Amino acid sequence: RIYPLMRVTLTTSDGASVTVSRQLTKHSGFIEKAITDMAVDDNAVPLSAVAVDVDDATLKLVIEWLTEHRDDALPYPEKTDEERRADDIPAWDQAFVQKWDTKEDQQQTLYAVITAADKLDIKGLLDMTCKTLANKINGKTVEEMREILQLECDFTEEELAEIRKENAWCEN
Amino acid sequence: MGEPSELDQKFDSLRFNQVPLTTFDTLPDDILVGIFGFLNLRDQTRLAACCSRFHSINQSKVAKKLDAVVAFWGERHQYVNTYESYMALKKARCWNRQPTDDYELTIDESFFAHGQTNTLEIKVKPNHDRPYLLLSHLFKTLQYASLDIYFADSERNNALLFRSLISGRKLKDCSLTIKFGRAMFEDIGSTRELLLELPTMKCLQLNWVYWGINSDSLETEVITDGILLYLVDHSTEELIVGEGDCSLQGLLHVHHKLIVSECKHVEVTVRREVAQEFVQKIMRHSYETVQVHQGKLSQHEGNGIAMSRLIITKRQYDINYEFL
Repeated sequence: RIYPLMRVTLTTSDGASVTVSRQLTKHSGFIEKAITDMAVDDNAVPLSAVAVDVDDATLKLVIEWLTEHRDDALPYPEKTDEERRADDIPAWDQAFVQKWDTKEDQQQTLYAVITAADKLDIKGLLDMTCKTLANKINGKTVEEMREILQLECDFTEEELAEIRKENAWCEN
Repeated sequence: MGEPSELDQKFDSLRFNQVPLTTFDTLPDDILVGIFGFLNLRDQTRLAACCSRFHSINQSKVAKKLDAVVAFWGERHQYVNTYESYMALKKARCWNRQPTDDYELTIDESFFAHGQTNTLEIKVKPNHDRPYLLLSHLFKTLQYASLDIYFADSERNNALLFRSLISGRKLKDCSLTIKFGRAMFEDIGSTRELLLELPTMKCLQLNWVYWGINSDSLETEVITDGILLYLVDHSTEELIVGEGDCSLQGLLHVHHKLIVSECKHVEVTVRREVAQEFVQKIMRHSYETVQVHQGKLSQHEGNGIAMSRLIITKRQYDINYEFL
């Protein structure tokens, strides 16, 4: 898939390649660093390929998000712990996630996008996907969380009893 | 047939386009810490109870975010509670530790490590050293936006706890309310020393109740000219103290300091004649930047000396005087 102002070719972990504009890649700390490290002329078209440890399907989702957010201010604003909230996901982002975050998918894609955002150092996308995941478990019981996140309880009976005692305050 | 070689496995992976599945528990610690960060304390605690890895991450890497931490240590009862919703205490679900007996409060000392709370309220009225040691350690790295501490009795360990709550901290945006109840003569010097250790803070409200033998002077008050001047210099918004042994000269220095420092509002109760003289002197010079009001008249509890409240405010700083 070709995007306006073709400038950077990204090669994915499964051998595909995608060419995208610098306007999009500027939001990725990883890609920007790779380009800087190449020390190539900024106006060279296209730039040498940058290998990313993300599969093609996930990278396409990342690029779709980057295209929508291409005009977002940089650097991404650092938020204090007090300002961190999960209920402020923009409507477009919510719809974007809902498209592929199906029951059948069992959050595989969400985890893959979170991992990709982390590897490519795209703070806005990482923040949004982590908030989405946090919202899924918000207000749920321990058992419900385990089911949603498909987690195995690996505590011993003794540890479990101790944790239940410690956490009695939040289960009342 | 033997096990497939590594090369075969790679080939199969490519041939069938098998991308290793990412699951929640395979996400790196840093991402999990970020997700914990979007949850409230209750949900953080529940997520930590899902499996041992999350339990360990929550204990070692996730800073607790609390609305309020309230610690009370009396002669018979002790507790340390956290409230998710401080404004609705009755509805709040509390993290609560009760003592196993009158002197034992078992607590996970790392619980508050590097945590944050809007309000930290402490009231201590003990008859032994343990609360001071435990609370000092417990709250050593807990950041607060507002500290409300009440030392209900004269006790040499008050200084230990107080120092652990102020030393090495950045309090520029913090409000402090410090109350000393039943203070004795030997507490005066040490409390003055403590006040002179306070770093720059936003607001300070100080309440000193002297319970020892009174003299016919105000020497049993901890606020003196020097202390008041220091506190004005270290408060960026408001300084509200009780009775002080202040002179006219000292108040004039405070007035001057108020003009040049960040502090915007000072209240102190001083001898009535000193307050009157100060107000007259300021009125005569009609300073434009600072407004001075003589407030409530009173008598010193210990010796009946006539006192008067002084309210000194920068003009651009709006205060509703009806409530003063």
